[in-house]
Amino acid sequence: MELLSNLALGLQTAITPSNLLYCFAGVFLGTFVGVIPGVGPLAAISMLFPITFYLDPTAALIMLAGIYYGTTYGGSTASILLNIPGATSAAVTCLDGYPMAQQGRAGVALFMTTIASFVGGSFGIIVLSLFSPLIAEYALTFGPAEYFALMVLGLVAASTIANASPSKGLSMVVFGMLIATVGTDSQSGIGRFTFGSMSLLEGFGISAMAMGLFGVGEILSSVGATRNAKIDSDSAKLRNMLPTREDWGRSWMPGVRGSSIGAFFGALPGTGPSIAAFMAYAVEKRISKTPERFGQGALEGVVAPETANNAADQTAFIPTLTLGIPGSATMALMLGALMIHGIQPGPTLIVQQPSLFWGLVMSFWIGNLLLLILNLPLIGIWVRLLLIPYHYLYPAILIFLCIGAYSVRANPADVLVILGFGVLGYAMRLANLPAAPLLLGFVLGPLVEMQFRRAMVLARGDLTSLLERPIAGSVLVLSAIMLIWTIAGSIIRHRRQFSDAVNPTEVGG
Amino acid sequence: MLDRDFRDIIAGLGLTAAGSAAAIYAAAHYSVGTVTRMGPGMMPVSLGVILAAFGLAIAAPAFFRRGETVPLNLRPLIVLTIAILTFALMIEPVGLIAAVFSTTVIATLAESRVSLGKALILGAAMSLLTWTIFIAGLGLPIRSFGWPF
Repeated sequence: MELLSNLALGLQTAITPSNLLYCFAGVFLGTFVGVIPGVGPLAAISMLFPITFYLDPTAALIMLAGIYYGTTYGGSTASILLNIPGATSAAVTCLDGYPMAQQGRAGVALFMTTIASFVGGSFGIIVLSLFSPLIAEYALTFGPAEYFALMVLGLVAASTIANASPSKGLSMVVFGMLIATVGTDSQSGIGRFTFGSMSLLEGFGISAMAMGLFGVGEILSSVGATRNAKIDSDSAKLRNMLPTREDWGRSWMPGVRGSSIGAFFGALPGTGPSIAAFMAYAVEKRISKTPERFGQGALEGVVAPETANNAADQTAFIPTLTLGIPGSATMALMLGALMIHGIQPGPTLIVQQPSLFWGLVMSFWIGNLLLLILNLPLIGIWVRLLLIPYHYLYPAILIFLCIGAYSVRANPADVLVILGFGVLGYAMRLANLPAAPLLLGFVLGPLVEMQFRRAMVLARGDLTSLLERPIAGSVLVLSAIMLIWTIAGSIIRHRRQFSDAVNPTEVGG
Repeated sequence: MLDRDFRDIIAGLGLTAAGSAAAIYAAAHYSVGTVTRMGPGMMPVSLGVILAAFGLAIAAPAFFRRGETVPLNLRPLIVLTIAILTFALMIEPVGLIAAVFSTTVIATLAESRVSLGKALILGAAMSLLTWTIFIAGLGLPIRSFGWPF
């Protein structure tokens, strides 16, 4: 019963008043940014990133994680009421959530998404606490070659699976790795790309970069866009929210399937809550006896993706905490928060920092319970929040970003760095270049370089030795297959477009 | 509709330019070394070359397909750039309160939806809020007021 004693240790850590407070602050803020469209979890986490310098690592991670899974709870609110996803992982929820709202059943949809989120989250936490120690123990045998291979797989998966254009995703990973080389080289002590500037010797900080790309970049592209919001605020009254017996009966199997699908895709590199939600929706629609109801306000179409994205939120921590390999940009920020405090996540983390790991796991339970309270009796507050016009919100967000950037080193130059990355992020949005792979490449780049150097020293520069090791070899082959498959797929697509361009079928000009 | 996808052409060629510039600069200034003993130039040069190649891979097919115009909204970009610059320039000489107030008021000008009176109220509210959170609450070492002269 080692698990029980570990969970008890975790509960002790998570239940201290200060950790409870940070957990509450995290899920509260997470729900807040989840509810409001145009502010995503990445912007929120990067905005609060500087504050975590002042906290101990456990509290910092509890708060950042709370923002992360809190966003997924809140994200469905705008999906249902406005047909605009509050967070990308809630995009699928629009499909049936908004039709439900139009039929006057918004309250039921809001109620069931919260319950579904709680069920999915709980399932994800169970998977996380059962599998993490096993994976970590297995990973103790990994050497630099294995880590190098796994990181390559993570980068390839993250840049190819979720993106329409794999060459754009991959180019952003490489760009991020290139940006990470700015600053002092850890091996030779030579400053790279510093152009004689003292402040560039330390390289770009992950917080300034994330705040610029996701915070300022998001504001730059949302400001000036047309918005309209009409909300029926009666829907959030508790008496309109209670589902019927038939609703419950309809929901529980999709909930079970959604949780399993979410837990699986959350733990894989490159797939995250958004893909998990999409897959769960697709599965429900396929196995349903009445697929025509989907898109017309089917409750299953709301429950399945909401259990899936919350389960995926929790299991995403498995590779991050057991291997030190983040599967998404958000997880890369979590990893960054740990590394700033001098903790190198990896298989030894669970053994060496049991109170951090199990404290974090138990804080997830507490956070999910808090979210249940925040999103059921208090849902009215969030609905009213949706009524705050964005033109009052974006100046406030901008101020928090500026202060956040400045406070890290009390250096006004860091404010200019977020401006620079903000303009870059805006340009990337215009060019349809994804920003998340860039951040992932930025965080993983130096680690890939370090593991590759170590592996090469051990193998005396023999590149083929990487392929001869069973785990490293098969993971690298898997990455290569994924790479070739997606590139071949996009070439075939281009061919088709090319032949369309040569023989244009002019229909209606 | 444009007869070529200029968005991807510009993006791809821009990445190629950035990658080649980084690779050339790194190759000229840092030693590359060998695979066993990698020099500081190894990563930047190889990453730069790969980035340049991906840039071409993005740009090349775009020459052969139609594209759509990208809506470029210059007013928010310019106004918010000025707002952030204002903050960077003001935070040390005049302190948090004045810097936050000015930045907020300038930022509201990125859209024409907020009247001047409401912008001033929002600025004052943000000054009070940020002072309460960051200086009174978290105790960050930031000056509240300053007088540069």
